[in-house]
Amino acid sequence: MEENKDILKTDQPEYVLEIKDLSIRYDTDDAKVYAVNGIDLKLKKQTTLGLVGETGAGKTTTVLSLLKLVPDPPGVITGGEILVNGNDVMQLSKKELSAMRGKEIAMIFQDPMTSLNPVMTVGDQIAESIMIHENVGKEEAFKMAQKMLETVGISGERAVEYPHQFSGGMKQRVDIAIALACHPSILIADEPTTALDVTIQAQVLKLMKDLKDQFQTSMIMITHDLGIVARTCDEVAVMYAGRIVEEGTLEEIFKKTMHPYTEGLFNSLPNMKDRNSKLKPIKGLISDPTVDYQYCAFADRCPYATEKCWQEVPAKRYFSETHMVMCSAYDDPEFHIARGHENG
Amino acid sequence: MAENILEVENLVKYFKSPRGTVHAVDGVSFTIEKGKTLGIVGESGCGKSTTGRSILRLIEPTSGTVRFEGKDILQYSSAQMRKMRKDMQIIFQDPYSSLNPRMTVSQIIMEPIIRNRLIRDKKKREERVLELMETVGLAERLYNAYPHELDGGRRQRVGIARALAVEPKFIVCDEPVSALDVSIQAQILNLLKELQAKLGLTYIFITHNLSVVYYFADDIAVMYLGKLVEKAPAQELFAHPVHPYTQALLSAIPEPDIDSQREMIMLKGEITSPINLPDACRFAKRCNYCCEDCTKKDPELREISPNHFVSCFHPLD
Amino acid sequence: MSKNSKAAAQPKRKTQGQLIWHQFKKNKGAVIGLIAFLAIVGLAIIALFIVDYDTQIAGMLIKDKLQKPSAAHIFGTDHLGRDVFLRVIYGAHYSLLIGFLGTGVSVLFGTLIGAIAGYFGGKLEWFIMRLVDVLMTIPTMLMATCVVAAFGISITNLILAIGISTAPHFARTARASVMTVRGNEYVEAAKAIGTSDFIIMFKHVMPNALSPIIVQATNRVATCIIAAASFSFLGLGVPSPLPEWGAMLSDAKPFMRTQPYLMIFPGLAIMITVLAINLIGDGLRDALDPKLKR
Repeated sequence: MEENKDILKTDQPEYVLEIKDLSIRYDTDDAKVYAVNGIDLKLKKQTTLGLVGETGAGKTTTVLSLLKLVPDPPGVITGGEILVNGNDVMQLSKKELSAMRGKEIAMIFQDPMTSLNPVMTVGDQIAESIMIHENVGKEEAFKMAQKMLETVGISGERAVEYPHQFSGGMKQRVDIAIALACHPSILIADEPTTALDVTIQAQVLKLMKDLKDQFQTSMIMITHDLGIVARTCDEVAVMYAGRIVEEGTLEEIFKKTMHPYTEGLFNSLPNMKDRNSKLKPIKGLISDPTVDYQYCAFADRCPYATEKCWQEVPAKRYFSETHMVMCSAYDDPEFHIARGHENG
Repeated sequence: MAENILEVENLVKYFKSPRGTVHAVDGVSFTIEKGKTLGIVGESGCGKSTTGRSILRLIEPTSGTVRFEGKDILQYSSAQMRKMRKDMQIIFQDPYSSLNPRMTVSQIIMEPIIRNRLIRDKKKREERVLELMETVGLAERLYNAYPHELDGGRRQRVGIARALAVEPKFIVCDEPVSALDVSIQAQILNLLKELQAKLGLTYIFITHNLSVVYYFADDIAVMYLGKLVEKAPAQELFAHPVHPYTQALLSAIPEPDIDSQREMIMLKGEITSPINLPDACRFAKRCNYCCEDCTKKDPELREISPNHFVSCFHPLD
Repeated sequence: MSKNSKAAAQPKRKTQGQLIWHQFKKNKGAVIGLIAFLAIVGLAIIALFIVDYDTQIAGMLIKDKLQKPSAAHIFGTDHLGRDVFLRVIYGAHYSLLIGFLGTGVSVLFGTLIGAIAGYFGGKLEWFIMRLVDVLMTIPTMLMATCVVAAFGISITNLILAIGISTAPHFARTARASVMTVRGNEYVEAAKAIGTSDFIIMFKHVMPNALSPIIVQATNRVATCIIAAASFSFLGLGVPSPLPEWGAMLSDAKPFMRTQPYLMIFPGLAIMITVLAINLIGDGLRDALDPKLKR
């Protein structure tokens, strides 16, 4: 594995990750599933981007493609470009890819129960990842693994234990230790706390935030929970039906919400300040991923939809350097959504 | 004073396991007024689901009393209980495993009507099913659809229609929205609220989602390792939590608001297993305020102000 | 509303059967197996109409004996001058009958006791399953030999022998399957609306627990056909002159060197039938398993 270490370009561009016009489709026997439909995304150094969306929005497919892990078949990347630290992922050889996985980009999965190998000690599992990418022997790797465990708040002595001896929250910590063992520049967390209880979730989120600063890592946090976004992210991208419909800084998304779907997500959540305010759900059903939407996929659920929304895919519109919204309603300069304007 | 539709006293459910006795529910008592909602919150393994199912005798409780409209239903024979089930229903968490995949939507909704011999005329039965489908917001064209053709939200509506088919007075909602997407979650919560207002239903709403329970319930009971640690009206509990666990739980809610981020109270460790418990406060090991007496005796649930119950020797202000 | 209908895709109305067939079709081997199997069944049915049992199956035509395959007798004739082709296709219905009825007996007993054990659990389950364990320690062949020895040689006894000796396997499968289904919330929901155990078992549990049993049964039919042939070959199964394939093999033993075709054709018949049924079984397993759907 020695030759793996230095084949990737090391010059540092402004963005650790750039996705340009990425489209991914799954061709199954029954139907074509349009998972990702032309998304652009940039991740700055040391920032955390929240990728928000509901089931089938294409969040997981997007991040799997960064590591070229989209199962093929049935997955087909139908277009676009992915640059990780300036390296075009599509052009990388198998060897280069495996050098990148774990070292440049590491992943934390939703279910810590299944992402760990039950017949290996947790220490060996962390050491394994270190040995692939760093030029160290077995013993040294194991020592580094113990140190990693301490970093995530588990006693180093427990490195010789097996995953089943750990609780759910502990396993997720081990997962984090494996992911961070090689100091990746990008950490992808796919719903890392969905399977955990609230109090444990709080512990794990805090740990991730602390470690992200300590290791100077950029992070993509996939979640459906806007509360987690508010706690951990600097920037937010809201996905719907394989498109990013709104993107901006945390402040922009939460305080200057512009897309009707983002508004709908906020309105669907109980208001903690006013118990008696009624929930305002988004009407209708989640988009059908087997439809190739050549118009706004949200149109049939949108309270502001006009004739135009059914005719074309909305253009990307920038309201600040960072705030992008994909909504045709803003063709009308007077248009604004209700959120933030309720009292006039 | 409204009457209590349900009174649970000292409900206990122990399971035998190879490692010892699991104290899943260990002496839980509470009452619910007619037409109100009691929310039961807690983390996985705290016994909230077992409590809900023991009340309905879907799991036979080890001991205790459950009085429904004044009658102790734990003393009922299984035939008596079968008649009783008409009044007490349940809505499940998982809309995927709670519907028989080999039955159509109409068959599923019709089954309770047939089993309880509520409507004998076939034509009228079909009309009733259509009426129920309309009540829960299912389109008529789904009458002959199979569950696998529906998304999670619609399946959950089928589950609700099935529960409503027998015109129950009381429904246990066991995490009814946990498996659903946010936008669909809100639709189902609103539907449940509307139904409550329209049909005068009483709910037990079991969930781990604190913001949902705050919105939905009139009273909230917090469970930890098989025991109630605190119970109070929703507003009161959120404004003045006095049990250290409740405080930590509330502080851990990730609020979708970037301005009002509360200070998170970090708890030590994780929920321990409810096996072979010592006679001590169950929360003692994780409690930031644990004193000596907490490790010697298990605190009883007591009323510290009207309708506000807590089981802690040193409740916080 | 025309716009809305574009987005809201109409749910595809397909029954469970159609879905299974749709999956099954994709497996080429299974389709070939099914065609071969249907051809065998077809020939067996035709044989019942065109073959005259008394002369062509049980009779003797000594002047035609031991002829090599030719246009007149495509599989040749045996030592009593009977046409082997006619005997093979006529014999098919014995093999199929024993295979299916034997499996039927086995499924019926096995599934019933297994399902009861799985659904009710507790002491009853413990008792049934230990009994099953004991039965499983007795080799199938030995068990069947005992049954035939005790009750005499006949087709009915052979079917019972094969059926009872394989029933424990179904009991185990059924128990495991029922236990999985019992954990589903729709079973609890049925209980919550006041459904009796009997109806829950037959309406909610069994239909959903059948898939693995069907798959196992299909493969078991093939095993039963082989078992039947083995018994007949040993003289414990179908009595002569019935043209059961195993019995035909046994009859052909003395002529193995000089007239090998007498063994080859019945042997091939067994092989093709068993292969076809096993291919169908594999196809069914994939089609019935929701996890394999993409």
